[in-house]
Amino acid sequence: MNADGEPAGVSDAGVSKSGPHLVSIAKVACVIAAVAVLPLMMPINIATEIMIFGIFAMATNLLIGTAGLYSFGQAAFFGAGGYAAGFLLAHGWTSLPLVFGFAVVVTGLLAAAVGLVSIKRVGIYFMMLTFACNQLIYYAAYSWRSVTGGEDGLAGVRRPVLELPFVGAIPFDDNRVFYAFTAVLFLVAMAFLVRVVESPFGLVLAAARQNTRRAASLGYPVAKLQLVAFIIAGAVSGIAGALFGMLYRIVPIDSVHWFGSAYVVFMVVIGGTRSMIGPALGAFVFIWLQGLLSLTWSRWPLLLGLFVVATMIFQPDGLLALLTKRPAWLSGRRERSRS
Amino acid sequence: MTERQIVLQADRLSKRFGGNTVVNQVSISFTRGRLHSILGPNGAGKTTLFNLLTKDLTPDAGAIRLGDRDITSATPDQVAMLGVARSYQISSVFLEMSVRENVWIAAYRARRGNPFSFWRRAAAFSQPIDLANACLQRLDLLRIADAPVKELSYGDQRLLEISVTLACAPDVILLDEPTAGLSGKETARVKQVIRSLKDEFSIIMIEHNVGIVMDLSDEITVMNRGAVVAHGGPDDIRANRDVREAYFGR
Repeated sequence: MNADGEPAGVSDAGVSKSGPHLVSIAKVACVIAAVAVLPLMMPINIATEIMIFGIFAMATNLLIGTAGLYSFGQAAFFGAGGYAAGFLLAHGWTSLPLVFGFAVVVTGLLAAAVGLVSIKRVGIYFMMLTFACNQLIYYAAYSWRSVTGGEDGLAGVRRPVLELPFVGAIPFDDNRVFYAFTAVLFLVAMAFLVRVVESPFGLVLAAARQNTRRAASLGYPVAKLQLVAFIIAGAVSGIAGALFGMLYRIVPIDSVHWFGSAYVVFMVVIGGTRSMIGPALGAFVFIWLQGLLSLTWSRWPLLLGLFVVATMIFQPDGLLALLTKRPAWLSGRRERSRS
Repeated sequence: MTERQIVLQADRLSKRFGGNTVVNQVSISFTRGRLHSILGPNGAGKTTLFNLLTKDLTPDAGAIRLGDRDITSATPDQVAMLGVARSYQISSVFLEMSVRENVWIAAYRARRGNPFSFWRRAAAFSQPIDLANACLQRLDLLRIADAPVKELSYGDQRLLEISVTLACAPDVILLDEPTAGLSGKETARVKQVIRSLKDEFSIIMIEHNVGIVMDLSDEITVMNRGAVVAHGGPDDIRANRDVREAYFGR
């Protein structure tokens, strides 16, 4: 216990030293610097896509890394967020708070429904239920042509307009302005999710991941807490999906396909689940590699798959751990990856 | 003289797994402020009885009352919030957290912290900290409070398990084999701790160390093959022939 009466020492997140210290200031500085430099390294829309999938991956990591809920249906919420926002934007409503508010409400409700069905099942059953719900929502989107455009996608999506007092209306038609906007949302999402992980709620989610029964016997309504986490993750994924629709001015049917659910799990796992920087790094590597490989060979998904496999085998704690500790295959002994 | 108050009571409780009746029509009551041990050979249904009392398992028949409240259909977290805390036979600590975090999580809920609070950092809540530290102090764990639990010895993990149970600030404590797998020195330490808890809590204990049971218990219930075979004070039990049969197989 340190002088100001707060507990010190931390492993998962939670009850740690309070107040900013050098390491966390350095981390924040690195993240902001990376976000600022990113568009100088690559085409602006690829950079924007990385920010969008970074948000999606961080939201998914609240489920995977913190709560230990391996959902394979998160694209349902990404896509639904895209459709919700895209529908308004394609029909002349461009007010930014309205568009994002609607996307959050729609995806939050959808996540509540899917969560109610699946949370009480564990392990493979939870995975399969989230996956099945994803498929269900995909076919609903496929069939509901009047709203989603079906196979052709929801076209005619405009970018929203931010009305600010004194400044006036800011349009996002310039891709650089849109990148800046997406990057700000990325940073806000990261700060929000880090706060969630470090809160009592996040600490209990992590506890329930490690020993569900013990968490219940300490008085915690575990299933309800997990449901709330599922709703938060779904709503934040919905924001990412909304941004994706705005970026390309269309919401393709692929955005709600379960491939997306698998990709986002890849991003989380190759980046590392122990922090929110890991999934963001995973999104960067995945999107960037996807772009790079697709230029080199028409069978590029093979290479991407090989990369994911190699990461799983040689760096099971994720790429972020490369920066913080020596990997097992370098130090000559094999540690078991955390379950 | 007023009658002793019943704090927890099971009425004809039964639990079957497939064709096996593991707990068979068990009626048992626990008196406030006493240490009540449950003895019996392996497979007697002691731990299953615990799981029924805390609602980790749902009974097939029978009723459970906590004070004057029927908790037969409550959930484990509700039972915990009504003041029943337990330790597990197999250590159930959170391995990827520090010692202090383990105890903090129990203390936070015991102090009626809102589990849905996701907008403030855990470190900003100061109420549970005194309770958490007191519980660590009691088991002499403050010295390793910031160590990751997975680096602890098995003995220290068992002590932490008890410390977490205390941090629930309960009325009733269920201890499932608190000295299992401990060294002689650690066993003595746990025995001393349990003795010191006797004045504050109602304690129900499963324990195979007969010496500890005889020394500490106010009441003893003996189970065999899912049923209660004897009940009484330590002297009654020591003299009981059925108990010797259950224990020594003849």
